[in-house]
Amino acid sequence: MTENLQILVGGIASGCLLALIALGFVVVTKSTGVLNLAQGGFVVLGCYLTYEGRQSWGLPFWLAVVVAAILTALIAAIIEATVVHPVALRGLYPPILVTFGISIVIPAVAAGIWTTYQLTLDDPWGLDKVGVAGLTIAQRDIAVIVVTLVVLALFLAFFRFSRLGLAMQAAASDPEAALAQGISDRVIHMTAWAMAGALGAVAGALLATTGGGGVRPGLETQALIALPVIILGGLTSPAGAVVGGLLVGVAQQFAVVRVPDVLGSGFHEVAPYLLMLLVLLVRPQGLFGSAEVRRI
Amino acid sequence: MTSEAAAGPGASAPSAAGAAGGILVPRLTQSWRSRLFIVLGLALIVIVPTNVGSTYWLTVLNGVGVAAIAAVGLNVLTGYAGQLSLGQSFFVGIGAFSAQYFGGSLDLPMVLWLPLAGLLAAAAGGAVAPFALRLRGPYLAIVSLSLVFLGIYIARNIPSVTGGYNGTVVEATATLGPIDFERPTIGGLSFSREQGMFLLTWSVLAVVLLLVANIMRTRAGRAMQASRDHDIAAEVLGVRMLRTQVNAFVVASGIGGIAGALLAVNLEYIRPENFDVALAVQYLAIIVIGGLGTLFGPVLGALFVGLVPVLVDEISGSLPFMSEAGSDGLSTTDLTLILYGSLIVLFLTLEPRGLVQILRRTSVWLRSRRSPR
Repeated sequence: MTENLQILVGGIASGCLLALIALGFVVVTKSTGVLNLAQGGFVVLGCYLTYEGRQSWGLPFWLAVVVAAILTALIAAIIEATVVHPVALRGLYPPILVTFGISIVIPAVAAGIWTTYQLTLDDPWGLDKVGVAGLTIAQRDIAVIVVTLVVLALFLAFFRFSRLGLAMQAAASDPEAALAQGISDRVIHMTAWAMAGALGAVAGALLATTGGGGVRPGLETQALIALPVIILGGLTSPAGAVVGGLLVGVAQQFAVVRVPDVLGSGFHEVAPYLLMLLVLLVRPQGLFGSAEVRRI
Repeated sequence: MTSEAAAGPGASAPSAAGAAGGILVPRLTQSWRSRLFIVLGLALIVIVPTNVGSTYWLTVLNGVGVAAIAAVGLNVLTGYAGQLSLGQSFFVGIGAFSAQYFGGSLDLPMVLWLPLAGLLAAAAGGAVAPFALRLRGPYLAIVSLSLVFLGIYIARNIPSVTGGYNGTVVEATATLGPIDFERPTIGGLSFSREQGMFLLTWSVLAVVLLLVANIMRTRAGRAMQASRDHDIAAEVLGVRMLRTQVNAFVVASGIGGIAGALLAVNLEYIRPENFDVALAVQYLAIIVIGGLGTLFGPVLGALFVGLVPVLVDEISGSLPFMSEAGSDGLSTTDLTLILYGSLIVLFLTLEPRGLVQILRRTSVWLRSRRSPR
């Protein structure tokens, strides 16, 4: 029982990270209609910029994360305005492939600047653990869960109360009507990408803390694990991203520990995809997605 | 004969209508110019390997040929039938490992292992197709992506066939009757393995291109294109979606499997990781760069994408920010990735209809210069 709870907590923590990355996907898809494969690049930029902030500018950890998030958001907005926006409305393939092109450029550039060695972020927790009600929980897991909750609150507040957030909701539900009301689609698209960049950067920094294995090449593949999450939850549903993230995180954690060897090695790596396929067999639009209405 | 063909599809309509029961089937080639290109292309399949001695260049071109075959397959699914797939490397992987299983472990000849690799991959494609019927656009893309991950997982866990994590040496031999493509002799002259592989790979590519060109002119092929252009309208007009979908998947993955078999004998050593997401996306990039839904787009795209690493090898020595051995800086692998990614982005922003469109425009421009009005 205790062991199961222990696995559950670990799963929730890794699920929170997936949820943050998945939210980045969903924000962009919902407000611009583009499936943004470059999200993995933002995860990479986030952790390397946090490292840079710690090492070169001597910032405290949390400030470094915030600075990295802001810088990544800026970079994401610039990328959107210069490269993605011109193709955003040209059907299905061009935007997906353009963002894929970006997603292979960013990690390669990062490897050129920061080398391919494993770097440490020097985070405040390291490998410390605390005992809560008989469970031993890594401090990093607690930090991840708290940060995710804070980010989610900010996210909801932005969409609920800010003028820009409301404008983005309007543009998502009817782009043409929103345009007619004087909402600029350029600003909306850039903001969505900036938010995706910031979300990816925060997730990247938390992912690359000592408990997560440090800053290293290959972190962009984490964004690929978030892909089944967004399909599971529904491509355009923020709530789906969070629920899907938690589901996948917990399922994967249990798969790591509990799945018998009969199923072969590496089962936990494909568990998210199997879960996604199961859900899609029943609900092709994902758990929280709305079925598309199509006209001739 | 020639005059009739030069006049275009309309001229052959009366005879075709009489013979084929009212269905108008245009000729495969419509002008002497395209015939000339076809003859030239076929000649190049023999001329290039017999005259290029450089192993390096032949290896690059063999890779291009294999990638082109796989991309032609993907183009059937994505370009003609309109189903975005990030899973072509899964089918290529099936082809590669079954080539080794049938040709290496069971020691069957190439006339058997090459078609078997295609058939097995095609069967897998047919099994996947009904699921794709329920999914649209990005959903299908990501589900097809999951095939790649599942494929690598399965391949790692059946070591008796695939060699597991370590992969396997490919022992399948590329011999067709008296012709040994690994040690070819033409008229008393013997050639290198790379030269033989070029002959094999590019001949298969030519056959595959002819196959696809013909499929796209049949009822089934037109149904694919109709369902791409407007699936509901096509269904109203009597196109069966399930049958069309299965056709597209079977053809695409079957061709992918054949490409995989050729990839296996070209590489001589395959591992499950060879058939990863990067490979799948490379195929997608090839058909987009070349031109979606065009016959020769995948070939042009494969040439283009295959030449990027060559370009990097050429220029990396003269760039100041490149890493020397053992020091910091940009590695050639990373520079290749950066160039490759930027080229995809540039192409899609500047010419989304691909290299084929650029060629078409150039030829129109040339013609207009020759005959000014």
